[in-house]
Order: sequence, then structure tokens, then C-alpha cells
Amino acid sequence: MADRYSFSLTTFSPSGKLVQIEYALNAVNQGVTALGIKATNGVVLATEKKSSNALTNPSSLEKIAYVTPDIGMVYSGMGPDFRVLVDRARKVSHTNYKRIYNEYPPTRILVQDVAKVMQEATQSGGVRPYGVSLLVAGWDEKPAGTGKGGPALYQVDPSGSYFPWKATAIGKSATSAKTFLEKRYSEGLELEDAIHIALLTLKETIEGEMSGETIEIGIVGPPADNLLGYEGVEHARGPRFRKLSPQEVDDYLTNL
Amino acid sequence: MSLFASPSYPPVGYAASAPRQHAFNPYTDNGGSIIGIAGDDFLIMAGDTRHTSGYNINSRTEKKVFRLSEDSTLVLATVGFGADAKDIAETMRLAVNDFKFQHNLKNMTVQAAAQYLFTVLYGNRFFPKYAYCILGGLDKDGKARLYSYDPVGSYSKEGERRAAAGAASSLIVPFLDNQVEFKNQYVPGTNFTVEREVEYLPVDKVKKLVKDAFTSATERHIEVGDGLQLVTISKDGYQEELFELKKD
Amino acid sequence: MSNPFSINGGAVVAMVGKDCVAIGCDLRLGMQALTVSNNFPKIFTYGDAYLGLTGLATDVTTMAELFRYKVNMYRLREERAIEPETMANLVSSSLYERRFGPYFVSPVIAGINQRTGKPFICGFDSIGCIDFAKDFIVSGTASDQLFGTCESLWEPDLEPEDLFETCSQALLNSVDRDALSGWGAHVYIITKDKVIKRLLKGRQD
Repeated sequence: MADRYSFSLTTFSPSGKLVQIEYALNAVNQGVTALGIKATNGVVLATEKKSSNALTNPSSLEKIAYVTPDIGMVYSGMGPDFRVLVDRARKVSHTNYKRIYNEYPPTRILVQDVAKVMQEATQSGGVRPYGVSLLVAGWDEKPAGTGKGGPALYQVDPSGSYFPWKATAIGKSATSAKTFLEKRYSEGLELEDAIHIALLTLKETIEGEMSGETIEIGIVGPPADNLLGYEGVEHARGPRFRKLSPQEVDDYLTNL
Repeated sequence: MSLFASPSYPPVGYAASAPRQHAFNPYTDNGGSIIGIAGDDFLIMAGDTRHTSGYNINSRTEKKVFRLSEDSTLVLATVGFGADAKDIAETMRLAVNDFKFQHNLKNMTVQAAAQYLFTVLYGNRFFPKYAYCILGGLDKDGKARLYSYDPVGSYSKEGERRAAAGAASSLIVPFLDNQVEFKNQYVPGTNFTVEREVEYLPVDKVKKLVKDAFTSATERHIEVGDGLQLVTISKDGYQEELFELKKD
Repeated sequence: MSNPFSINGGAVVAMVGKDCVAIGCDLRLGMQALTVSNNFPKIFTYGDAYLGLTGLATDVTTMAELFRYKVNMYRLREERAIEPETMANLVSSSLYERRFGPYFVSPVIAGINQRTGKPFICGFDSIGCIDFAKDFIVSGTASDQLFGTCESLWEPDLEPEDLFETCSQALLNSVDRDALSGWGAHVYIITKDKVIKRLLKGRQD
């Protein structure tokens, strides 16, 4: 009989809290730190790749994911939950947008769709909230609302709340990282400076050694037409979101 | 298999076949379009030279405008079922020729030819010639006259200023309404109260309109194209020009 | 005459000019040969995108309302007007959603993209296949006539007032040769910062 009924695990406590969401946030706050910085001409996402065992192959571990050609995301919290959300984000970017308008969603629209997925996990029966916070970075070709388009950086929490940021961090050392970013961030920051600051911030919080193997960086930058796989097609534009190779990360680290 | 090899008829295991219906379809639409425009003292008759059946192009050089005799101004353009169209043209040629010998070498007037064409078409009222005809010529005063017919002979004795028939007539007619009869045109400054007066157009202007009409019809209708046969009848006699149209 | 596309009659045409577009429609609504109304416009506005709909009148109205809903939802979500190109893809996907039970309409879109300043027109079949034309789009029971007049009258880079005249003449002379279209017309002439809507009287028969 028990399986005939399914109530939401996320029920209000008498004090008005949804403790399941707070537990999910605890999972996030134990996660490896991830950060994002928005520049004038791009965005950087950075995180540490921590393997629990020296025998794992670090190149097989990926924490920054592509969602659309111009949007990518990183997480803090539970890896498996993140992969589910990446799948859903990729899926809804098509079902809710590309298949209708034949173009990819603007960052905020995608963030709203993913946030909706996460919110539904706080109100539906038989499920638990996602144990991750996300940093979503993207580039909007078209001005959305009063904005002018260009780079975008959002944080999405297990509750389904989302926030636009100039720079932020999530995970274990989020607080200290944010304090560091507050000091280092300046208006008119360019992408190269942002990558530099991202690495400096990570250095403050990182536990292990910093290298292309242990640091993962994703950037929103100029269209990477070389990643198109073909050329000579008019108006064809390469993806703006791309991950830096370990070699590229190492190059940045040597200049740190 | 030999006829004698089978011991029984119908063959064993041969299901009784369903009744089959046979039909003879005497008509084909061979596409193409024709135009006739009357000026004051000249006449333009034109047709494309494509001959089709379905999606096939049978010929790119089949003319649709026929001169009814060497010494008259009578010209007939026909479209529809190519065989019927040709037959009508031949019937008319014979009639015009015969008329001359029966009438002391006097040529048939364009009015008489028009009435005769009606008789030919209506004579086939119960097995019609599937052809749309445009007949033109100069009358005894040298004025252009133009008549257009449906397949069973309906025509107006008043004649017309312009006519179009065939596959792309629905494309061409409204254009001619506008450019030859100045339909929907008003005198500027009269706030749409005074219609632009119809006037006879000069021959070069008419030729330009006909060419425009056919290039447009060629662009949008698959049964029109290849070549344009453009015939001018005036006091200087019969003049025939051929122009290229798109062949795709 | 049981063809749903030609029960009610109607015609729409759109044309591109120099930094401008024009879109026009007739005003007739009929039931076969009987004219029921002479004030049934077939162009609907959705911000920067103008949608012309010919075909079965009930579907014309339904589609106009459906897109009003969809475009309003889009504007609320995105906090900006829908671009004509995006509208085109929305119309296409909405029609294809009914692939095996289509709305009997032949839509036409015209507009100027306010972000890029580019004129845009396109047409569709009833299941959403887009015809991106550089010159003109025709639709409705007078489409044959419109193909003829547009192909003959249209030329590239017409200025707004010349485009208006070309579009109007193409439309008026076409619907005059179609028994199911006519009874006046609406013509919109759209430039980046101005839209003029004109009512043409036309033949009242």
C-alpha cells in the first residue's frame, strides 16, 4: 500500500523552512569550489578537478559541461545530479526553444528552464531536490529585456532560485572566494584578466597542486569558428563556449 | 508456355480477375500560352514554343501562331490540345484559301473569318476541339481587330483590345488588365475619381509588354518557356520574330 | 469547391523594397460564391512581425488568435518583441505540429528586423514549409494572378512609396480577376521607423 501514495519529501517545517532544500544546500556547501567571472567580452568558469584516488585518470573527469554552442555550466555538489541536469538542460534547450524558434535559447531563458526543473524537484512526490548549485555562463546575441545582450553569468540553487552575477563562487570555499573576488573584480574587466583572476581565486582555496590536469576552465569568448568542423559557409558562426585544454590552462598558470 | 500445355481453363489457382474498365481519352493538355494585343493600326500575336504533356517537354520549337494566308492579314493563335489546335488552324487556312477562289480573288475580311471560326468551333459542339483561339487581322480600314474564343466558339463580335489564353492565362490576364487597359489606374491628383483613359499603345511598348508577360509566365509556370514567337501585323504586312525564353 | 483553401476566398501578397517591406490583403469573406462580409482583413500584427493568413476563414481566425497568445507569451518571457525571422520559425513549427491534421491556411510574414534593420518576408505551406523569398510572396485563391502581376511589376530596391504602388497594383489587379477575392484591400508599408496602413477601396464586386 505504501507505494500507492507518494507525498513530497519537501514539506514545510512549522517554522516555515523546507529542510530538504537546506540539506541539499549543505551538500552543495561541501562540494568542490567552482567560480565564475563575467567580463566585458566574455565569461570564465573555473573549478578544481578533485579525484579521490590517485589511480583515476584525470582526463576522464569533466565538471564543466557544454549545453548549447554559446552556453556552458559548472556545478558544486553531487556529480551524478549534475549530469542529470546537464542532460535536462540540453534537452529543454531543444524541446522548449530550438525546435520551436530554430535558434538556441538566451542564457536567462535556459537558466529559467533549468531552474524550473530544479524547483519541481522541491514540490513533486517521490523525488528529492537536486544536490547541486550551478553556474551557467553564456552569450546572448540578442538584447534580452532591458539588457544589451553579450555575456551572462547565472547561479542556480537547489530550490530553483537563480541569480545573475558579475562574479561569484559556489561550494566549499564559496565565502572566502567571494570575498577575494569582491577585492579583485573591477568594472570593464576583459576576458583575459578574468581568467587570470579566476586562477588567482582558485589558488587561494585549492587544496592540491594547480595544473592543467587539476584545473578545469570553460570560457565564453569570441566565436570559435575553428570548432565548426567546416568552413566556407556564409553566416556560419562557431561556438562561443569552449573549454580550455590542459595545455592552455598550464600556459595561463605559468603566467600567474 | 504453350496454349496446349494447360489442361484446364481458367488455370487452376487463378483467381477470377476483377472487372477492368477501359476508357479512351481523346484529349491532352499540351500547355503553353498565347497573347494577342490590338494596337490602333497594328496587331501583336504571340505564343511560346513549348509543347508539353504532363511533366514531359515534347518540343521546344512548336509554334502556336499561324498565318492564315500569305496575302491577307489574318493570323490565328491557338493553345490547348495541340492536335486540335493545329487542325483548327489548318481548317481555317483552307477556308481562307477557298474563300479567295470562290470570291473572285477577294480576301476574307477579318470579321468574316471571325464568324467562320465560330462556325467551325460550334460545329464540333458535341465533340469539341479542345483549343482556345485568338484570331486577329486588319479590317478594310486598316484597323486592328482581335477576337478570342472558348473551345466551343463563344466570341464577341466587338472584338477585344487584348486577349490571353492557355496555361498561364491566369498569370498574364491581370497584368494585361493593368498595363493595356490601365485597370486600377487613376489620374494623379484626382483622388481616385478620374480613371486613366485607355489609349492605343505604340508597337514597341506593346512588344515590351508581351515579352515581359512571357518572361514572367516562363518564370512561374512550368508549361511555358523555351521560345517566344512574336508576330506583328501592320500595313507593312506580316513580320515574325523569335526570342529565347528560359528552357528550365 | 470542397477544397478548404478555396471556400472562403482571399488573397495576401508581401514584397521587399529598399529598406522597406509591404504586405497587403483583400477584405472579402465568402461562403463559396456568396459574399458574406466585405470587412475581413487577413493581416495581423505581432510587434515587428506582420502575419498574413489566407485559407479557411475559421482557421485564419484561430491561427491569428493562437499566435497572439504565443507571441504575447514570448514577449513576457523574453522581455522583448519577437523578431520577424523568429516569428517565421514559430509559425513553421506550430504548423508542423499539426502535420497530419493541418490548419488550412497559407501564411505570409513580412517585417523589418529592428535589431539588424533587414527587411524580411517569407511564406509557408499549410504544414509549415518555409519559402524564404528575396522578392515577393503570394498566397490565397488569387495566387496565380498574383504570381503573374508580381513577377511582371516587381523590381529590386523600390522606395517605400513605389513599393506601395507596385504592391497595391499587383494586389488590386489580381483580385479583380479572382471571383473569390476582392472587395477592397489593406496595404501596410513598413520601414524601420514608420508603418503606414492604407485602405484601398478597389472594385466592389
